Amino acid sequence: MVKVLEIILDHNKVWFGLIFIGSVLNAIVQKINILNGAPYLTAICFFAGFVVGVIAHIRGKWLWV
Amino acid sequence: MNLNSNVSEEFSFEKEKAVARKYAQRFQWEMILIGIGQACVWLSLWPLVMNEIIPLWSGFIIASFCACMSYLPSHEAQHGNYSRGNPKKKWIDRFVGSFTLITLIYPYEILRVTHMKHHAYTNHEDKDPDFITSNANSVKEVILCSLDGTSTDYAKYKDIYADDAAFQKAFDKGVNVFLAYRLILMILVLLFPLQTLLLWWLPAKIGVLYTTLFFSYYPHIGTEVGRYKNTRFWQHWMPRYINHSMQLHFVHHLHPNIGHYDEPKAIEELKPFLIARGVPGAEDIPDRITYNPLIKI
Repeated sequence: MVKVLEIILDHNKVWFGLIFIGSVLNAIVQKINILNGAPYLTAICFFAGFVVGVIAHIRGKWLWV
Repeated sequence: MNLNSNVSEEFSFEKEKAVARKYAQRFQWEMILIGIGQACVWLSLWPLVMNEIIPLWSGFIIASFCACMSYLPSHEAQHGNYSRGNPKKKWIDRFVGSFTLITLIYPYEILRVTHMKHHAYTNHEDKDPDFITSNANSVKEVILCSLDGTSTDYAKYKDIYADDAAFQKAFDKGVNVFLAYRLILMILVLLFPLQTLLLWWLPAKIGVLYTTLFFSYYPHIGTEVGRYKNTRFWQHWMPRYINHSMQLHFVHHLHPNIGHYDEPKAIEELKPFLIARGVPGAEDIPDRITYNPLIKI
């Protein structure tokens, strides 16, 4: 259990990207009328968040400090 | 360390401490009011926004203001300035210190122990947990560190202070709270994404940036290691209430037990002591501290 938790926490940026950024992107695109009806919109948003998280995980930080 | 070398008996450390002690007695009810008040206002924003009583954008502005107000009451708690050494009142430190930080999404125990180390090792590159921001090269660097999360990433100090059992215990307790905050944040963002972004996450970032800039960066720019050298008096165009009177942060580093709202009076009385010590900028402290600027231009 501790091991699983450690693995999850080691990838905290990936989770944050997937869940937090993905959710926010999804909520924003739902408000944009011209995107209504576009296929796989939710999946694309969560995937974009996931990619941002993976990049931050590889770089070790979110921004260019 | 001899704190009385090169200083006349009139301005000895013991006499300086006696003056400071006079301003370290009062119960700081106004700070408790600010801490609990801002957290309650912030909590009330959720039902107000959810029920469309107020729009999300105004909730965001109020939440950001609350986040900027949230650190100082916790900071006083970190120094035990509510309990004042009374074990029966320790719960006030813990309660106010933790509750006010809800807005900043940060655990009290981690901030408390790292802040104590900041006081003990101010400007020591390896040991001062705030070194990265208090010795940043520019405001831009502070902004990036705050938004990036680097300014509050104290994980490496758990290794640095591995031999300090009290530090480790408090840090571990704080990590549990941190994980709980993260879990709540993730659940909330799935349920209410834009509200979580604009009522909690972004205001917390703004609050951390404000706190880092005015509590850490400005008071320590260009300062050195040493009791009378590690903080400075500084000027700012803002009325001092807007930056939490952090131009007076110098006296806080000398005597952290002085209540925040009693610092102006303490500085007026301590001015001759600071001049005798050769503190940079001490001659420019007005005899009576009222509004901005605190330091004569």
